[in-house]
Amino acid sequence: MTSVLQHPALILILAGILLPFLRGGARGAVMLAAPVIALALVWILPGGVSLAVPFFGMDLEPIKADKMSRLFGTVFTIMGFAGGLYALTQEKVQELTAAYIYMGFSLGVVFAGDLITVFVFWELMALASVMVIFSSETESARRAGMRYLLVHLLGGVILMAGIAGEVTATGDVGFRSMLPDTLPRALILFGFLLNTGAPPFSSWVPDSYPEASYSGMVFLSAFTTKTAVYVLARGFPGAEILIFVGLFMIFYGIIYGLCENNARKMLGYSIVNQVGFMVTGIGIGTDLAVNGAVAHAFAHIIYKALLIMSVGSVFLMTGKRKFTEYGGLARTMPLTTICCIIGGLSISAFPLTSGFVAKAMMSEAALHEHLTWVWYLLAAGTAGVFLDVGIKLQYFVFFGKDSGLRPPEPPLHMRLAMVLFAILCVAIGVLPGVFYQLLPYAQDYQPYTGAHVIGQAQLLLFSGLAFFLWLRFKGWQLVEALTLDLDWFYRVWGKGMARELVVNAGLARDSIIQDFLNGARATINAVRHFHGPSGVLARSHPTGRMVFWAVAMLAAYLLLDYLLT
Amino acid sequence: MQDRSHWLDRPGLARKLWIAFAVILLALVVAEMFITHSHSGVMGSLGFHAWFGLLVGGVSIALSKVWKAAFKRKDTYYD
Repeated sequence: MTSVLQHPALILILAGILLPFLRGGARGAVMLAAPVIALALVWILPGGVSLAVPFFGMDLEPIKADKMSRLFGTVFTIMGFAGGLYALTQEKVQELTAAYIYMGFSLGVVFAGDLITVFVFWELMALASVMVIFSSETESARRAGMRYLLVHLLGGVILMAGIAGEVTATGDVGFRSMLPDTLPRALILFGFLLNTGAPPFSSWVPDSYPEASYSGMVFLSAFTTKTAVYVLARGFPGAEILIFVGLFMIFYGIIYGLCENNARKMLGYSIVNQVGFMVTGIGIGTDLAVNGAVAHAFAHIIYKALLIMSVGSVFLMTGKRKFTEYGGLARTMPLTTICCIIGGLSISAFPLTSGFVAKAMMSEAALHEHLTWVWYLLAAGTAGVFLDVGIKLQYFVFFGKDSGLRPPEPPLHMRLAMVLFAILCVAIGVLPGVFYQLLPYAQDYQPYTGAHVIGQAQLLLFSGLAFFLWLRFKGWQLVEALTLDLDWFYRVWGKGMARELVVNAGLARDSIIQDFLNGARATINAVRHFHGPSGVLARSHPTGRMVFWAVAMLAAYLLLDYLLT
Repeated sequence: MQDRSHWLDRPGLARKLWIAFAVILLALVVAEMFITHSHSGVMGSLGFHAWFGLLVGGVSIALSKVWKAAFKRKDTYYD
């Protein structure tokens, strides 16, 4: 039986706790070594349940490993290493502590064999991740963090209700594949979906992640949404509703990304967009589709981190975050530019990149299932992503008009982290066979056919042509404004409703108190009227009058008695 | 002071890039004539991915412009 000490999460959590007590090289060594040791543990763990714990009559399985959990464990720990390398000189140690503990909790979800363990780590992950946001110590981060926390705690409550209902109904806490065919399962699905950035709460991703520091957003981009993809792939493959939810997320991310003027926020929308592809793949539900979804999650963690590292480097070196403030930065940041372009090509699924070999499986699976309309929408989404991150981001940050900014490249460790992930993006794209062996289901998929390569290149480059034609003939006005999103409902409308409720509840309370006081006053007056000093019941009566009334009543009594008998 | 010797500042660069881009696009469409299509119907027709990409790109940009115009607010809207 495996000891709990062999859980890959533990080493990361311990490293996080240790970091505040370390300085300089020792801190850096722990930051780099912990994810490597965790990666080794991910692969040392035996398959199946290796730790079972009885708990109030239930059999919890805190450590359960299979190909899917190992795939996510692998990319999470690789991400931890590169994220640690990138954040090596981050002075806010509380961010590093929170980030490492957050990574550990995400591994806790990935290796959980039962719903209770999933829930516990799920909630701990939300708490640790919000600390990463708070660590940037700005007022806007504090407020965004609170909104993030509220949305995730709401999701947690819904998830807990679902799990409680499921365990009560089935008597089984095991985390297995299911369909949302009962209320508890639908609640579990909703709880999971909330962490993917699904509607109606998609905006929590672009609202909160960009408020983290240059390095904090790198960690945040990797774990919460991808852990949600993992639990969906394990828990709800083939749930048809996910196709519709995923497609909504794809186009939501594209349109809002194109509208956005804040580069980091745009990457937040792009996370929702990419997770939309994965959710759609899980909704299709075949082995090829689920392989595609989890392969895409793996590839996405790497290229999205690369993009966020690149834009984070620009943010760190210029102190600016808007497209209207950037332009022409390729002049002095050529390496960052190249890394960002590789990330942009990968996210767009350009041939010879990781996105190409991963994303195509989901489109192919849609065709196999005769979901031609889904294939068309996935192709449209792919073209849209290229417009968004492949072209717009690169053009307005590194090329376009010269902003006059001449920032230097970021420090060496940040460059190394970016180069490492840029190499991985290309390596996975060039050698997909090795990558495919990590996937949970056996498959014989060949991404490099002439038709696929030429078709994909046409799709992307002609959508790019649309951008440049628009730029050439209509111009691209970058607008310094935000675009209203569904979060308006809880940030403005809901707030107004709450305020109204408070005001009206106050009025109602005042009215009730006033009515009570009026009633009490009327009662006192009535009592006073009858029993007061001059009241009719309290008054003293002359004896003669009393005798008169007594005689009158006796006479009436006698008269009635006579008449009735 | 700006470094005017950088290749991004060379005159005529935009024109050269347009020409290179056009050549690549044309080459992609021509190359399609020499491959076997794996899909049938519209999605397997010559130049489908090209016009579909161009159409999606144009529609996405137009839609985003309309959306932005309809729902834009000052950056300080929520403050």
